Amino acid sequence: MTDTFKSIAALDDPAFLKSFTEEREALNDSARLHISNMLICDHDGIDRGLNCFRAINDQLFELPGKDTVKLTVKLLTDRGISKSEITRCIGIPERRSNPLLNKWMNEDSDSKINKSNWIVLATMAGLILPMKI
Amino acid sequence: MSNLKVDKFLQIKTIDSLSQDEIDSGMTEIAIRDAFARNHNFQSVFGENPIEQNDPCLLLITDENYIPPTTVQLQSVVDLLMSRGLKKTHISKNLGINPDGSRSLNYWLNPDKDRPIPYASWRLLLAISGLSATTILLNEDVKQRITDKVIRERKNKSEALKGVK
Repeated sequence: MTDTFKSIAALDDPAFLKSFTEEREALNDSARLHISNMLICDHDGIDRGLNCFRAINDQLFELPGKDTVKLTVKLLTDRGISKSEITRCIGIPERRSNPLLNKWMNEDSDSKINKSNWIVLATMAGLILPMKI
Repeated sequence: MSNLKVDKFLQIKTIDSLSQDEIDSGMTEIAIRDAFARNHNFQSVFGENPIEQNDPCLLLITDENYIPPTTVQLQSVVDLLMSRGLKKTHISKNLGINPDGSRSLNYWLNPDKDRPIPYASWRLLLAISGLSATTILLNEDVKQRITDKVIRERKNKSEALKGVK
């Protein structure tokens, strides 16, 4: 499998053209909203210059401190998204959800968020945008 | 310069305090990232991708129709990335897992093992392969307000264009 694209002739099919256009517009709208939010907003004081917001394969990347996880979760809960919804969106089974999220935010807990969960959490908060490499 | 008028949820403050250089570089970064996102989205929609765009494994986990990927689907995405010259160790690095021997990745790819790829790693793999993207999470009210606003703006723009013709 290599990167190939559909023939341009596919666009002659009105049904394909319609679904292609709608889907692309929806994706572009979410991407534009995400990027604007990421680059223009003040994110309630979260510093996007921290190493935890670097690309995951960047040598300087490091996991966030508990305070950053807490602020990131707050950013989402302030938008009306509950902690259970947040963990559900990361794919954590319901029975483990809230306690686990609380552990990631609790200074006294040894449990740290792992890298992929952090990337998805920070993405949902609109702080980073992992894309095609 | 006038204040940026935006929805409160975006928490955007004024840009009055920024210098012209800061505004220009910010705008350039937005344009670059926007171009990247468009390229990414084009791949998702127009690419001959190993996974069909409407496959349930591309849905968000919150969608009741979501089905985790099979090892065959996972392998096809890894193959796509490898066809771009990436090695399994690079892929592992980009997933934030130990690249030594690509053990976790190989484990997830092995149909005989019962440990599937965790959802967050799967989403990340989809993002780096350009097959799907995770974006900002908003509640339905806010999303609806934004959608309405975008539709309104598109309509105004198209009416304005008709007026010009």
